[in-house]
Amino acid sequence: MGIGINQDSDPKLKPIIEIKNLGTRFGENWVHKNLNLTIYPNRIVNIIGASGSGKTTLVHEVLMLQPITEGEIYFAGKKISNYNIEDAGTKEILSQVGMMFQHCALFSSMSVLENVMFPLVEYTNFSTETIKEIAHIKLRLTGLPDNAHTLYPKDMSGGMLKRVALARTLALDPKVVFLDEPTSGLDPNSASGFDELISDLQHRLNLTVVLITHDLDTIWSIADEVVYLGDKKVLFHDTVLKAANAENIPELYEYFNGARGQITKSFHAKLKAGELDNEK
Amino acid sequence: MYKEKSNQRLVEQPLANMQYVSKSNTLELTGAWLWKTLDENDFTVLAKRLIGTITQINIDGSKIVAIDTVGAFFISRILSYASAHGIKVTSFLIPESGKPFFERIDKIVTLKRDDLEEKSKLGFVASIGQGVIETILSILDFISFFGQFIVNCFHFLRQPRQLNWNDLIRTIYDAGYKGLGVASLLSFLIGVTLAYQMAPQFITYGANVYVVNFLGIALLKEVSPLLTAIIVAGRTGASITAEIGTMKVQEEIDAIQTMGISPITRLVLPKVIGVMIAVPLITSIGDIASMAGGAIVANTSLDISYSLFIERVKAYVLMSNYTVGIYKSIVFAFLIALVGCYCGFKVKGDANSIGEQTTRSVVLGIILIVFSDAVIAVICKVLGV
Repeated sequence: MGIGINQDSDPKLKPIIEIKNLGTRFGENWVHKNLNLTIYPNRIVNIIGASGSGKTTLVHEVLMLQPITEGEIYFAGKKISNYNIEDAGTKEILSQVGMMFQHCALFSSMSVLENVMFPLVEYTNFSTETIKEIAHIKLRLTGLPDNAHTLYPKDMSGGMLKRVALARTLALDPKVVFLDEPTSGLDPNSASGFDELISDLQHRLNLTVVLITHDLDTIWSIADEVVYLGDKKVLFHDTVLKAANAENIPELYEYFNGARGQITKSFHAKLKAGELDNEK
Repeated sequence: MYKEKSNQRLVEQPLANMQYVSKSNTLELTGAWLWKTLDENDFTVLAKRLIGTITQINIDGSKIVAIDTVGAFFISRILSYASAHGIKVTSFLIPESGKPFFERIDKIVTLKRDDLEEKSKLGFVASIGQGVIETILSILDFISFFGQFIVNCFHFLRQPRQLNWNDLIRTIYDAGYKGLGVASLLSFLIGVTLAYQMAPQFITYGANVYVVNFLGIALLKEVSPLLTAIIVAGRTGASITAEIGTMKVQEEIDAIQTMGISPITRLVLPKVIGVMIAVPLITSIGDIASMAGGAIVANTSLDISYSLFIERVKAYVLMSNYTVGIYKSIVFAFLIALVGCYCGFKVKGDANSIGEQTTRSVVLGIILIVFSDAVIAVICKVLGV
C-alpha cells in the first residue's frame, strides 16, 4: 500500500506473510502438513510444485477463501482467522491483498473501466468522477490503450484481459498481489511483455508479488525467490539460481533441468552474459 | 477515504491533511496520502477558498509520510487545478524517495486521453422504432430456428439412431417425474377451489349434480393442461435455457459444431421429444388429481357421493374432453421446449445474458402457451369437437 517515505527502509525487518505449522485437510487427505513459510516484503516470490501439491490452496488460505485446518497464518503481523465479512479485521486484510485469478474472473456484465472501479466504489467514498479517473490511471499503468477502457471483457483478447485483471487487482493499492498463472494462454511476446510489466509495477509500487506459475521463462526473468512445495510442505525456499542447481531435491532439479528446463536455463544464462547480442 | 466510518480506526497512518498558510502563501501537505486517509471534501473546500483569491502559491509536500496512486493522483490534481485557474506554482516540494513514483503517476494523469466513444442515446421515437424492428427480427429469428429444427427432424427420421437416448431419458425424468409432485398438488388444489367456488351457484339452481359436467369440461379440457404447461414452462423451460446457455458460454456448442455434429440434433431434439413425452403424462395425472379434488368438494358441500360422481363422469363427460386436453398439452410441451432451446442459443458471453434469456424463455413460453390455447379453442369450435 503505497510508498512509505520516512520509514525504516530495511525490508528484511518484518515479514509480510508468515505461515506457521500449517495443515490443510480435505476429507481424509492432508494437502499440507507442518508447512512453514515466511515471505518478506518487496520481493517477487514464485511458488512452484507438482499439480495437486496445494499451491492454489495455500494462496486461498491466505485470502480466506479456504478455511485453515490447523496452524496459523499471519499477514503483516495480524493473524488470519476465518472469513467473516462483519469483522473489520477481515476487510482490513482483504483491502491490502489483491488476487489475479487464473481465468481473470472479470465481471462479464461490466465494462473494463467499471471492473476496475468496482473495488474503489465499494471501499471508498470518493466521487464517481474521481474514481473513474483513478481507474483510468490503473488501466494506463498496466498499459491498456485508452480506447479499450469502454469495452466489455467478452470483446477482448487474452492478453488484454490479463492486463485488466491486473489493473483490478491493483485498484486498492494492495501491499501483496497474488498472481495465479499470469502468463498462461499468452503468446510468447505478450507473456514476456507481461513479465516485464509485473516486475516494473513491483518496483514502482513497492509490491510484494506472489506468483504461481509453471512458466520457466517467467521464473527465470522476474522471480527473486522460489518456493518449492512437495511432500505437503515447503521443500525449498531460495533464489532461482540455487533452485536450478539443487541436486539434493531430484524433483526440483528435474523441474529446472528437464528437457524444457535446459533450453530456458541456457537461454537465460546467455541472456545474462550478453552472448545473445554477440550471436547476432 | 474508507466508506464505512467505523473502519477508520483501523488506519494506522495519520490522515492526509492540506492546510493553507497565508503568511508564507504556502499550501502544506502532511500526513499519509493514501486512499484510506484522503478525504475528497478537504480538496473541494480548499479549492473553493483559494481559487480566485490568489495568483501564486508554494506547495510544500516535504512532510508527506506515505503515498499511493490515489495520493499521487490528488497531488497531481492540485497542480493541474492551479494551472487551470491561473495560479502559478512558485515552488513545489515532495520527498525525494516519493518523487519518481509521483512523477510517473503525474505523467499518466496528464496524458491527453483519446476521446472515449460513448454510446449515443436514441430519441424517444427512434427507440420505439428500434424496439419494433428488434421484435420483428427476433420473431423472424425464431421462425428460422423453427425451420432449422424441422429440417433437422427430417434428417433425424432418416437416421433415428443418432438420437441421444441418455439425454432423452434424463429430460423425461427431470421434466416429468421430478415435476410430478408439484404439478399434481397444484392441480388437486385447483380442482378443490373451482368446485368450491362454483358450489353455491349450483345449489342456488338446485343443479348439484351438474357440477360433474362442469368440472369434467373445465378441468380436463382447459385448466389442467394449461396449469401443467405453465408449471413446466417455469421449471423445465428455464432449466433448458440455462443449460444450453451455459454450454454456449463455455464454447461447448462450438465444440459440438466443429465435430461435424448438428447441435440441434444433439441437444434440441432429445429435449423437445422428452418434454413432449413427459408433459402429457403429468397432465393425465394432473387430470386425475384435479378431478379427485373436485370429487372431495362435491362430496362434502354438494352431497354427491363418490360413486354417483364416478357414474356421472362415465355418463356425461366425453372422452374428447380428455383427448383434446392431452393433444393441447403436447403442443404446449413442444412450444416450451423449443422456446427454451431457442433462448439458450441466444445467450451471449456474459453472466447477465443467461439471466435475461432464462426470463425471456419463461415469459415467451407462457405467452405462446396461452396464445396457442386460444387458437386451438377456435379450431376445436370449427371442427365441432
